[in-house]
Amino acid sequence: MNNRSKGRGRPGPDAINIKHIVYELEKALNVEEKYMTNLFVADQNSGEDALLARDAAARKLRFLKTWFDLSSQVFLTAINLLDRFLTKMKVKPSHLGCVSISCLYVASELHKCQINPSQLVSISQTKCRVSDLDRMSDIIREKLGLERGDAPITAFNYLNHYLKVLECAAKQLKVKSQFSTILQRKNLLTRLEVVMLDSECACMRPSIIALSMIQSRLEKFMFAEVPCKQYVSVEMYRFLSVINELQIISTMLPHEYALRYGKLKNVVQNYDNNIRTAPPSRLKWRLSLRLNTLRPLVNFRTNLFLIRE
Amino acid sequence: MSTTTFVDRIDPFAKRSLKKKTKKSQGSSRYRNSQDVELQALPPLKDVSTSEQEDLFIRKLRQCCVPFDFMDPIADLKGKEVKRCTLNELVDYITGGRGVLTEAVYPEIIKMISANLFRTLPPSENPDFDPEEDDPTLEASWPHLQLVYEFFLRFLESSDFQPTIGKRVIDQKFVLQLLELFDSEDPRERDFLKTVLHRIYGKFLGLRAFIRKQINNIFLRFVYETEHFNGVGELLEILGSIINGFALPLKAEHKQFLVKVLIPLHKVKCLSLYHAQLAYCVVQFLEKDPTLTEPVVRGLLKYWPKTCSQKEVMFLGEIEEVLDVIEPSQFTRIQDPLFKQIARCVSSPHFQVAERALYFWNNEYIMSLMEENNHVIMPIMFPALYRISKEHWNPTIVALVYNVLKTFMEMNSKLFDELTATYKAERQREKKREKERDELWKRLAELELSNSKKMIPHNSSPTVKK
Repeated sequence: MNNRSKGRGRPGPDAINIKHIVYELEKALNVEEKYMTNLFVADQNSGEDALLARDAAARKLRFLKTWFDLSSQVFLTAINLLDRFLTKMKVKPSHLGCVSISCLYVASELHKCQINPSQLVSISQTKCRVSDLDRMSDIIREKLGLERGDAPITAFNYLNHYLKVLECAAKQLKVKSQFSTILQRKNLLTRLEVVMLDSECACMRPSIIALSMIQSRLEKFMFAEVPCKQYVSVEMYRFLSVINELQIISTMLPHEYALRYGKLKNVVQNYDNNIRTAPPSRLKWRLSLRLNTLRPLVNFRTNLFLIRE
Repeated sequence: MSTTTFVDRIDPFAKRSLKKKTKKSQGSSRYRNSQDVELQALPPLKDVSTSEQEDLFIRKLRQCCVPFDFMDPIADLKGKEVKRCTLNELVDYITGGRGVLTEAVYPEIIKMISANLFRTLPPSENPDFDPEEDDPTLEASWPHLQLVYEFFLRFLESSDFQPTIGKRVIDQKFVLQLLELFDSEDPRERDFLKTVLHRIYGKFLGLRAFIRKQINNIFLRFVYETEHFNGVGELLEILGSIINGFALPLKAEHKQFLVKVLIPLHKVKCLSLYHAQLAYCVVQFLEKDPTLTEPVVRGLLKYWPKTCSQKEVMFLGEIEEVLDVIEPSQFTRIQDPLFKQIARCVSSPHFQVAERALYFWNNEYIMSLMEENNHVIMPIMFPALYRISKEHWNPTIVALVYNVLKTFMEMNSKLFDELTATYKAERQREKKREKERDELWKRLAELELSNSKKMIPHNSSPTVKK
């Protein structure tokens, strides 16, 4: 029996590819703990409202990410830096604004995106100066060991790895077109950003967060598609089972994963259903001095009494 | 003349600095009275018996019918003083006394008032009078006129005043003459007239329809013919108190007045002189009948200023007043055209217009309406806001846009993200189209060059002449 009949010939390009991808995934999983955060420690350090303040800062960062046209990777790196810094250091609430925009500034540098620091300081309505931003950025780099310029491994990286694995699997199972429709990267990244705004979710393993995003999208597809078509192809089922395999590779305990997945799914559902979970932020409305007549009736007074018809 | 002054003269922006602060001018339509009547002081009313008071009162009223020339400050000083004291006395008499308003005195009072008030208003001493810039021409005979107006007001407000008797002397002709006086440049006079007419409207039910009609005529002439009348603000203030008292349901006449008269008043150039009073009337109407919101807002949008930024700022202020009293069901009927206009305003290169429009987002009630209807409003506003965030020259505007976009994001994150993605995708497509167009033009230029190169050797061969 030759190697071909035994099915033991030279491995095909897909097999080589997936091996390499899984190797990269495992490499990332090995350093996962290094970049994890524990915001509950920060809560104990800084007081009751520390988590609420952190979430507000995270929302601000997400908006700044849109404002400066930054990528999801920059935002997720910034959040990771912020959370790790808060885990490590006791930060006064009054300094949180400066810390958070400094994290964004450092993250943008790590990913080679330029933000004008004076624009960042002025537009973010943070009560700090550019020199404060520079100083805080140096502190962050020092405390988090970023001198070499290596960006942290975040949920963004795990998501990319998982998507590559699933893409290979989809190609093999010939469900590539469905894969492209269901698992749109932009869509997943948006939900990933949303989930990271929640401090409870942000403390979870980033690999679990990434995989949960993918699973929730697949579930949504199943709930939408199956009642219409009344069947799912065998290939699709096999494709879906790849998620279980990824859980095993990522050493996720089933009960731990299920618990986390429930919370993450809740946050995503709130986002999809536009359920507001945070109060509106207090913004500064600075007007130019010349706009002195805001409303015509503000100074209008009449001493004429009402005349009934 | 220095060079600086000469340059200033031709610099339109220095117009204000060149204008000297002129003294308040005095004007009067009273001309020198050729038949100088010397007034003799009559005994005080309090010094005569009750039975003689009516007669003395009438004599004093007749005395006060004599006009004086105030253009000459030293002419007839004695007579002016006698009249002034008499008028003062009459004011006190009519205020304090009971039973002083007998039937006989009504025509005498009106005769005195008419003799003093009803005059042809002098033409403006400043032909280029700008109500916003220049000081008005004050009435020279104000020392007497003020007392006459005071007296008239006390007369109307007296507890003894009987409209049934009064209506014989205060008739349509009287009211017409009174209305003409609202064109006086003297704001003090117009203020008295406003109160006087308000009281007349309140007391004489039979004159109400006539007064409303005449005010309509004044406004329509003002809007469509002259664009000049000094008393628009005062008349509007009176109308505000009238509108406030309209019975429900509103009559068709009143609704028509709103649409045909009040809304077109917005299009006049000197809107700033009476905008507060006009907005007051409009808001009164809306508080009476919310279903008028749609015609009001559509009317404002129809007359929206295209070239005057100051007016645009005023319109935005009025829109905020309207939105402050709007009912949610009415809001949904006008949100689409209104916010399309607001989107144009926030994009305005005039920073005051953009700023004023953006400041709507600081109004809690308007925000709550926007939140309820964010699925309609955000798609309208988003492209303009996103573009300004990148392109506007004014940092204050950019900071306000930051606030607005952040508010939108908090309102509906999912829609915000979708709109961002759509806008960016559209911009990418636009850039791609532009790039393709540029490349096409380049290729055409290259083609032309290569063609012209091919043609040159053929053209350059010398023609052989026979």
